[in-house]
Amino acid sequence: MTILPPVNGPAILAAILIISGLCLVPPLRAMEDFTELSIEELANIEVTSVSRKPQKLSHSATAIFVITGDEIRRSGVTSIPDALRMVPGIQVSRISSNRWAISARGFNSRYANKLLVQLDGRTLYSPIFSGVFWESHATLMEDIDRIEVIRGPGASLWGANAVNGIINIITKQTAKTQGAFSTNSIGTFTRTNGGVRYGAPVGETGHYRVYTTYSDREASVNSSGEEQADPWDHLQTGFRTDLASNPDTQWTFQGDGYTGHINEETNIPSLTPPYATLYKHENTSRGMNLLGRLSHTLSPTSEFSVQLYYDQTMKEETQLSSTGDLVDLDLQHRLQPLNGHEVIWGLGYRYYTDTLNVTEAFVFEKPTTTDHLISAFLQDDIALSPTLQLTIGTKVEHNDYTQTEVQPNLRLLWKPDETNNLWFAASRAVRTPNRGETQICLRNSIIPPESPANPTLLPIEVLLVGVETLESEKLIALETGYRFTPESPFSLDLTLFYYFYDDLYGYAPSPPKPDLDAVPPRVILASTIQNLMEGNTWGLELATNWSPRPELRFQSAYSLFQADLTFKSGYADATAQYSDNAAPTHQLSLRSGFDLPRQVTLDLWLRYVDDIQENRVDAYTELDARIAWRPSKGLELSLTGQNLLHTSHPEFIETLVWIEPTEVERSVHAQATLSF
Amino acid sequence: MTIKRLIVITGLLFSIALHGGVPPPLHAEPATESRIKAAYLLNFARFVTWPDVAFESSVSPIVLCVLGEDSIDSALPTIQYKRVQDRPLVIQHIDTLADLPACHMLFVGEIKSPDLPQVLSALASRPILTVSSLPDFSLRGGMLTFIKAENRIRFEVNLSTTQMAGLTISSRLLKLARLVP
Repeated sequence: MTILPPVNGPAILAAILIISGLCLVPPLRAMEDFTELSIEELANIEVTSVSRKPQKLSHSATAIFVITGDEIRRSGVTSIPDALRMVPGIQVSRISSNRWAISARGFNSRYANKLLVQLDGRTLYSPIFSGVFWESHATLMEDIDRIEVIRGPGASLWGANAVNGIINIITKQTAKTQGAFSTNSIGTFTRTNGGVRYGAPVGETGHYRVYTTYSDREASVNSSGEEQADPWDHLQTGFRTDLASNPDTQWTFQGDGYTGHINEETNIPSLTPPYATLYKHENTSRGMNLLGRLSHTLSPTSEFSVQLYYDQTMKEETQLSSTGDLVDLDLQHRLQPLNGHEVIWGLGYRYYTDTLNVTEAFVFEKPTTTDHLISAFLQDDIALSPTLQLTIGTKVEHNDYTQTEVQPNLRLLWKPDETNNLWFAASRAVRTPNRGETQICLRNSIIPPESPANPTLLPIEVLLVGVETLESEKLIALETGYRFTPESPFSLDLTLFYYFYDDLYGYAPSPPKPDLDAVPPRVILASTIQNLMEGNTWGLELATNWSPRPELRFQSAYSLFQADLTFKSGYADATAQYSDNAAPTHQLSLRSGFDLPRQVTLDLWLRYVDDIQENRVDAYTELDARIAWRPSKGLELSLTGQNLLHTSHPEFIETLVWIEPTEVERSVHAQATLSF
Repeated sequence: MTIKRLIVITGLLFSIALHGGVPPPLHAEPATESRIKAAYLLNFARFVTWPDVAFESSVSPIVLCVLGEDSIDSALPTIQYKRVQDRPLVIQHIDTLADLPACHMLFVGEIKSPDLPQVLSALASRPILTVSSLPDFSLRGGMLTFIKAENRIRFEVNLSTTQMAGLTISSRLLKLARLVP
């Protein structure tokens, strides 16, 4: 185990400043005046989200963190990835203007594959590589009700891929988005971003909304400050309808369609001098989805829901284009068969088919595939005593790659009183291999002839080759947490975890093999993807929330993360797929919100992120600030500055495929929002 | 970025935050739930029609009486003297049923003496709109009851008691209510 480096000075100083600043703050007054609201608006105010202490949170034996829609608005972020920077235990790094590496508890990369991300119950990850193309997923930011982030395995309920965490993006009920709404911002990085929405009742039984959102973003810069060729835009439109044909039956129908243009310029390895070709292209990304959900209450203790969705995607990437269709059916039933038992069980089926357009540098064994995934889960919440709750559950899944997988968990929650609760969890989760890992043949690099690394006269082609017999990556996770939620305006949430991983993937090299018949002749150095690594990770996550007065808020999130991954015996000469240092050891976020007089609000957000990738990316401290004014009801004007402390800084360097390193620049945007 | 510059920037931003303040009110802020309920009371006064006999003159206030203890108390100043239906809303705390005739609305908090059945029988069919957060208030003979549903404050209405009292409730209000037989 390595010795922990100390947290950098600036972060500590800033924390001290924020806290000492508090002592000077005179109590301010600017509370929302409910007497000015219409009775319909009153009926829609959520009580717990206002007090920031949802009841459910303190009842779960999991590390959960919720970002509210209001926090998103007040942070000034214009994308979902930026909002996720608030969450302890989540690593968010921007690779280029249009690419991100986002993961929970380590293993970060553009192709991070141990995180399940859902938007209104629809899975966003791409079955090709089990990760999320964040640049293709958006929604009107103002429609987001909350983002629930669960760290740790959620596999017993959610299934494979929910290994290190789950992100649930939940949009508002349509009853909360009635009337007309429009917003637009202009800025230096986010050139323009905004949208329009209209909501109205559907007869007596429900509501609907339709929306359109768009964004157009600037290119990033490289370390010398030169502009890169990665600007991009996104246009999306969609609808949602919530109907209650009777008080016990709720229907939701929703759908979106989007199109985006994502520019890319990078050097692709090539077999002829100069052994690299410049790839410059405007990639198109398109997709649409339709989802229907029925929830029905059978009795006060029994409720079931059925959800069906169809999702179509078309995406162009460097050297690889794909079209995919996915149909997912999900059924859940919650009931209380016995006193003190709350049982949830469910069944799921997923059908996926895709067609890939491959190139010489990026080959898949089969250009088209059809996968089936069948799953079932059962979980029982048992009240052992009024203060002690035991949860046991498991998911059983059958997939086309590793056949049957079992993912059980056990959770214990001790709640001696309303203020304190302590929990413990032990779980097993697996990350099943995907289409890419089993079928890929990727030209990772070309080592030119007569160079220091290759004294021969032929170029060496370094290939990464997928293997059909690959097994799942396995995790046994131990977690414990403590939550302190007194009546007073302070709350604290602490989580500790220790993970045991086995059968992690790495690249096992084969001896170099000259291929003189190929055109041009070359030496092939192929590495196959195998279950050849193991190791442990551990860490601590702390979130606090302090609101000494309704018009003052201070929120902090701290994460400590350590990984120790090694090769299994017999694989000493292999290459690691996952680096110990892909995620920062220390990460700190400090947010403060002030409601000033005359309907003015001020928000400051300071972030510290430790160095990563063996010092190739330095530690950084950044500050976002937003000031907003509501001159009248329904109108808000704001000015946000992001990454204010540096002209530019890097956040992540992607190594698996070809992405030029870029930096994140200081940026400013002004936004106007109008609703009526 | 030097540490010094960081401190300067952070310090500057905080001083902006700090010096924008105005002298504060010293009392504690009422809870959100109470403020929502108080705003509801104002809306109830807006959407209920009393018989003409309930008011002495066309400018007489609507009197909201409060009987018993309830956390809503701290939020009532937010609606005191607001104008509804061209009349000011006036809040009065009462201790005995003898004060009832002056009331147009009655909010019932935690009470021991008189107890709830006594209060309800004293009201008989007077044109007084009764509201409470007590569980099943509408079912037990009251008119409007605050309830929490899906994390929101909503209310139940007992239509037969309001009709007997000669009160008319606007359909806009009824649309949001849960009806109690």
